[in-house]
Amino acid sequence: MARSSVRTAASNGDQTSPGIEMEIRTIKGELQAKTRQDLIKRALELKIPGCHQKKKQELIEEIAITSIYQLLPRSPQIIRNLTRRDLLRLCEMGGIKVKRRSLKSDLVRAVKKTLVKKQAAKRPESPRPEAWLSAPELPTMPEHFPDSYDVTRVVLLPVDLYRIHVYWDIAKRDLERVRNQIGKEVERAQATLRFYDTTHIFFDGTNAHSSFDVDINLQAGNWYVHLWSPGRSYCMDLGFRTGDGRFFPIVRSNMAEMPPAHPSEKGKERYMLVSEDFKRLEIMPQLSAKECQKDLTCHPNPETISGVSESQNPEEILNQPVKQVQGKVRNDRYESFPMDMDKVLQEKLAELYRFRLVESPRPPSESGQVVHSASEEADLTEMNERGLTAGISSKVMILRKEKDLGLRAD
Amino acid sequence: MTKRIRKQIAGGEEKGYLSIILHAHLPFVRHPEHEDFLEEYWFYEAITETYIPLLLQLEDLIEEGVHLRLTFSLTPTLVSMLLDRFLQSRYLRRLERLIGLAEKEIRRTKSQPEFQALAIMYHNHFLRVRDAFIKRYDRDLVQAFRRLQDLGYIEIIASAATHGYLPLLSINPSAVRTQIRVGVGHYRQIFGQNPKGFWLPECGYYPGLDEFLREQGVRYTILETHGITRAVPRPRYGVYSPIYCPSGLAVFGRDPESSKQVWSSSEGYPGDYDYREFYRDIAYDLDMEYIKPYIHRDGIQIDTGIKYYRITGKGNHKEVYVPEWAEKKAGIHAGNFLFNRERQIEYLSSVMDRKPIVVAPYDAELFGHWWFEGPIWLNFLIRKIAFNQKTIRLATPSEYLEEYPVNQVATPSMSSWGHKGFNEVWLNGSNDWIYRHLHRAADLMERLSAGRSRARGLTKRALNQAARELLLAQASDWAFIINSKTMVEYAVKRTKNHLLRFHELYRQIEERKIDGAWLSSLEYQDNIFPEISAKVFN
Repeated sequence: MARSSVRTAASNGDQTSPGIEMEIRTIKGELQAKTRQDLIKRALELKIPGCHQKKKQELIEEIAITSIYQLLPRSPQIIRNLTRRDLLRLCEMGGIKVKRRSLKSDLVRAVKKTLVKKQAAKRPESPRPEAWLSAPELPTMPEHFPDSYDVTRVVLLPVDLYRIHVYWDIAKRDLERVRNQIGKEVERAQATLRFYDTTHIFFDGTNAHSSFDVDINLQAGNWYVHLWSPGRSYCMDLGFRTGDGRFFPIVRSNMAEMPPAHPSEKGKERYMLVSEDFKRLEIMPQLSAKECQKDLTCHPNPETISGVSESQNPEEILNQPVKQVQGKVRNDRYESFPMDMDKVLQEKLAELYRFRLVESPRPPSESGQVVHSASEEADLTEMNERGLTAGISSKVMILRKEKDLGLRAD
Repeated sequence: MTKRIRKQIAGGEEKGYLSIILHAHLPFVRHPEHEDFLEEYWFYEAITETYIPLLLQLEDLIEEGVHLRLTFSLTPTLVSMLLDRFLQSRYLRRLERLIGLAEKEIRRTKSQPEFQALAIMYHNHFLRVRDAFIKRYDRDLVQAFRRLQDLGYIEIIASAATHGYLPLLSINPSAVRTQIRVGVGHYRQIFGQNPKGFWLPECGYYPGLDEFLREQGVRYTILETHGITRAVPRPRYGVYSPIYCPSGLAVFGRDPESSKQVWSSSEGYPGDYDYREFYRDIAYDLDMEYIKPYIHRDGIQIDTGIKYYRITGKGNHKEVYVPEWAEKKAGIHAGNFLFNRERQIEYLSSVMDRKPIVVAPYDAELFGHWWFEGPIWLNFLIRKIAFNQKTIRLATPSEYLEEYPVNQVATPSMSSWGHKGFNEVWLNGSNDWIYRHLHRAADLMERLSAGRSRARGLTKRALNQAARELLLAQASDWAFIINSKTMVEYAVKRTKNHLLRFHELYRQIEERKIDGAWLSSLEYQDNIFPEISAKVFN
């Protein structure tokens, strides 16, 4: 990781000023948390002799002082936090002859004079020591990302209601292949994003509601596409379109579902009871919540619908074998327009249980109080929509700051 | 939850509930290789100005037996930093410096009694914070929160491993699953229980995401208002009752009214003229030579936290801060907030056949850091709710679910609480370049972990470190910062470094030539989630 942290104009950009703080106490504290095995591994990496014979405390001392030794040239101020014993050890490591009874200040001077200078002199030739306490950059590590991973893909990412972001990457061989396919028209072929509206269908490549092309510059690598209706789902092919209208696809994207701009229509309401261990029991309107709570032996399959008519109780119903409702649309009737799951389920249930479905049910009420229907008097969803204030928190703070710093007008 | 609290909730006289949720998050910033690292200051500020003040206020209330139920989200990166001994000692060092500065200020303002009173106030505040940090909490703030949860006063919910913005990571389901799985796993490890709720980073949701939360046993999450209002089919109760996704996950929606009152720069409380002005820190006002030792070593001005002025008005002219007036205003605003909530809940309960819940999530940083009087306001509010009325009761989302286990089924819509409500903040011209690299790295990670489940020794360590680097690169904070044009260079560097390290580890693992020393240095530096196993990506 590069040494320079964030700099502003206030900094004098001093390149040689050391930026590392290594308090030996902190280092030792960190090492305490490690096991002896870990410490031995590190000691081996630092080429400390005889580490297998050393006790844990000795290893800690050795590793700490070796790291300090290696970091000296860059941060000589570490010296001031060292004990006399540490300083003696440093001198020993650096081959400085000192009397064991020297004053601490003499030791400091000796270390500064010899070791710091010595290490500093060595710096141009040898690469920075691979002290495991700092994270040196490997000489071979690239500075930048590759522009391309040479893998062909195209990805759709929704941005907001009306915009979708596309990025792509094309492997050289795939580009070659397509260009060969196109033949002599290739120079006039236009790179394009062919969008398919796949809302509520299982897209098989041919059954989209509609499609449109967005011509692009292949070199750009990414594009923002503006849509004109929210709430739709899209799939997309990246390819070339020739002058005569033929389309040569290179790669297909993921499916992207765009968010809706408005609340949905008032529709059939479904209710569910979810227990603590996630067992789910769907409630049909006539059943009160209290009845369901009594016996939670519900079918684990989420598609299972259970309900009750006046004569039966929940337990009996649940123990009956239930036919699963398949979600796949194979029926002719649903091929070309969005399938209505609710309608499908209703019909299936009517067959299975033969009970009446009420059109606009009251939600199950525990207390049994008489309440005017919410949907007649107050539309809470509409009320919330009108008061919408998304993103108010992050926006407020940043805008205020920018305004105050004079970076933007109000 | 203790029996004592349980008794007060069920079957009470209240007409509805208020659920205040405080989301506390910081990106993982830890730089032992630098003596004084700028971005670590976010962490120090948050502790001094938000977390400890909040804890102290809550404990005051508890000591007096005031009924209290709040929800907190503490993200794994923040928790990791709070528990890190190195950062703890750095924090203390910073605090000592601030105490020294406050003392200097007391002397400097000898002839200005109004300013000196404030300098003394800050000095006392810093001393109190230090005392709490060392003696009361034993440097472990996580334990302080955990204790409040164990006693039943707050509920802590989990969040994603490194706060990845999940809708934009959804191309790789393994990436989404891992962010959630590691986040929940970390929660279990730290708090010793399963989390009931989960805070989605930036409330970023897309249809299908609930399955992943369900997989990990999460019961509920919170979305921005329109995630609920535009759910299919249309919710009967708006955001005043949760809905169930078909998978069984409960989803609560943010109430726009209570947000606006607090956050809005025009209508909201924090802009009141008597409150402390955030942008007049002495770091900018005083002579450089004097202030230099107390701000960043290179003289980059960062806030000290000592601010002497109040907002006063819209222009640049600022008057001196008067704490008594500010406290009085906080009381008035707490009363006002409560009044509005009472009216709101009275109305709602008259048109709903169940008790409404008003969900009010906020960034924890708002309280104390951006809005200095925030914690006091919260204290007043909680008191007033407990003693001055009977319409509202504080509750957590899981308590509401216990009382109302039957809810409407609907599929929420894609949404976030970012500016404009969708993905734009994290996906625009400034930061869109990130995603192809994140997706590619997630692909590679899947490849790495498949077929290497029996890896040992150096390979296993390298795999685990690759997982960490990927998670750190996925943090939504980087894209957010780049978009906000504040510390752009740093955020870009973090993204690049983590991805480059990941790619290098990938190469070394594939070529079976792992550099042990370099790996060790990465393990030391990017030391989040020590227990992680790369297998989690399968």
